[in-house]
Amino acid sequence: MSEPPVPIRVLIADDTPEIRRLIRMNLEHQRGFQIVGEAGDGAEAVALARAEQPDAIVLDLAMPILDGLQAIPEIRRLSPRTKIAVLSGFHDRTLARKALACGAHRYLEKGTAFAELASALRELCGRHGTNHEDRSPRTSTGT
Amino acid sequence: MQRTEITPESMERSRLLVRGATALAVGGAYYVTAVLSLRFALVLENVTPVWPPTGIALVAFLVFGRTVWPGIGVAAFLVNAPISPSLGAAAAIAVGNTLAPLLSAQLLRMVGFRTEFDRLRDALALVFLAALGGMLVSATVGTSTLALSGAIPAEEFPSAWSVWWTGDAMGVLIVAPFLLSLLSIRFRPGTRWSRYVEAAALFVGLAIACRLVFSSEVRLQFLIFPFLIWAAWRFQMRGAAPAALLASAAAIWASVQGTGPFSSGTLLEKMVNLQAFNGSVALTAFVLATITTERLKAQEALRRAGLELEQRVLRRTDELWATVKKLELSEMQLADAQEVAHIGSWEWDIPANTVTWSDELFRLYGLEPGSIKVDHEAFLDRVHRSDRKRVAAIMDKAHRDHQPFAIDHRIVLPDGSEGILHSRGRVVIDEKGNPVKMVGTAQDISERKRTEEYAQRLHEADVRRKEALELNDEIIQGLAMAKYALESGDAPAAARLVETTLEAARTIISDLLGAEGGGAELKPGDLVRDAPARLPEEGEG
Repeated sequence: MSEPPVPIRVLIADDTPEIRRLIRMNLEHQRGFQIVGEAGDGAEAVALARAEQPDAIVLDLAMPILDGLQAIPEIRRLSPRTKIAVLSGFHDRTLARKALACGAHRYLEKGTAFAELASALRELCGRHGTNHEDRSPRTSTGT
Repeated sequence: MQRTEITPESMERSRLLVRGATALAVGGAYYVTAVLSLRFALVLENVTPVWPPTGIALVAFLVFGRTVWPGIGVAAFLVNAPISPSLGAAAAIAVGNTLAPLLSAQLLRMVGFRTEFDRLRDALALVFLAALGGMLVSATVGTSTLALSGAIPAEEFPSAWSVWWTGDAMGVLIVAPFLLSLLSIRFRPGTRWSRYVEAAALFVGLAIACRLVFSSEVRLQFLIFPFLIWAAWRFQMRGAAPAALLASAAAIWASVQGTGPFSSGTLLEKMVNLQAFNGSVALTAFVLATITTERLKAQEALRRAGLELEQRVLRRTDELWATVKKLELSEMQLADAQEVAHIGSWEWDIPANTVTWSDELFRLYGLEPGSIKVDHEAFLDRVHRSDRKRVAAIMDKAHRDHQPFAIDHRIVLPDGSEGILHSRGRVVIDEKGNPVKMVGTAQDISERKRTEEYAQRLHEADVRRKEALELNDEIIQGLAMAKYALESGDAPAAARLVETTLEAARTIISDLLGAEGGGAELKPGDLVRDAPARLPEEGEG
């Protein structure tokens, strides 16, 4: 129990409150994540990303005002450090490729286990193995 | 008189002056000719076989109008005064001599006489109305005056009257045509010299014949007629009038001199012979001359009509040619337009069952223009098998009810490929209401149809994408959330989410199967599966 790890600051963007609630609940349940905000549409996601400069963002694609594909480049521009993990209901390779081409770092389908989502976020933010079983020092280096 | 209103007085004066001078000149001519003529008097001193002054007076009245009467009246009085029993008798004779040509001129005007003297009716009017008719007046007035004044005994009245009458008549008959022919003479620069030679030969020949005829007792006067015929035939009135004058003058001269065929017998016999001869000469010459003129005029009119006709034909031909050129041009433009728009036109002559196609229509059917002979059946053969019945039915209906039609149908090209035409047509009927032909156009709409099909596919893809989105939002999201709830250990939330998702799935499925956009209602058998429902087994993803 040395120094506590620096948590990954995460922004959740999804137009369904129930999804936001479940993601927040699960990520907070796993240690090492700090939810810095929730956005219900693309425009709000961009604004919050700019204000919070989170480490990562869990981004839905189908959203009001701005969809995910429109929001990705804006987020990359206004918060260059933020890693973008798309969490979409579409099981579609073309859409995945398109999201990655727009600047997303990872494409995950909805229904993916929370554990997988968490490890993807850690991996993106360079915190390998920083879960409750394995809190090795190499993850403490941060980004 | 109308001239006083607009004509200045000076004009009036000069007009009066001209009129006075004319009357004076006519009077002078009358007087001189009369004095010369009196030398040929056969009865006393004032009855002559020919009285040329009446011819002069008649022509003066015809040409200058009635206003020259004072000149003629005064001249007649002056001529008669010295040879009449009294001045009163001279005045009476002068009145008769003035009235006679005035009456003749009036009669001629009434029958439409023309001073050109070139029609048969003019010749006949001059002989019978002017010469023989009008001169009854002067002969009757003159002879009566002489008889009443006792200058001639009563028993001589008939012979004196007849000599006076025939003399005046001959004056008209011989002199008036001559003067009128002089008026109509025009010098024509183009006349060939042979005409002058011929005219000279004619008059020399006539003069010789006259000399021959009137210097011998043998009755050879018929020798004159060939020359008269020659003159009338070849020179018309311009030859006939002088020839008649020459022949008559020669005959009178000879009979006064006491030679020739008219020198024997009593005075009456001489007069009858002479005047019969003169009358025949005049009638023959003038009738023949006018008939010839009329014939020539008719020929000329015919020639002109022919020329005009020819010119009209030429002009019409030019116009037709221009129209043909214009038509050719517009046909070319139409063909160009058809080619650009891929529109062909056709015409079906129903009674003959021949169909005429424009070049572009041949091309639309994949054929060389004009390469096949088209009739209605050949057309239908090229319509796609599946559309043929429908096309034939629509055209039959149009044929029956005479209404225009429009139809899209497929055609089969020689290489087996298909095209789509939009055909329009209408029926042309005759005055009895029978259809005589159908005319119309056909436009290649294959491209348009393909575009429409593409648009339709795009639309369908759009609809499918919307359906996919809906499925994604309602079902995948719902199930994903239920899974997350289960993962989170929130079983009630998971159950709620599964319930909501099930409800949403039902709605979407019934929308897809149901009345969305006028879709067909389900019929028994529509729900028969091709394969059994694939239910997920335990442990499968």
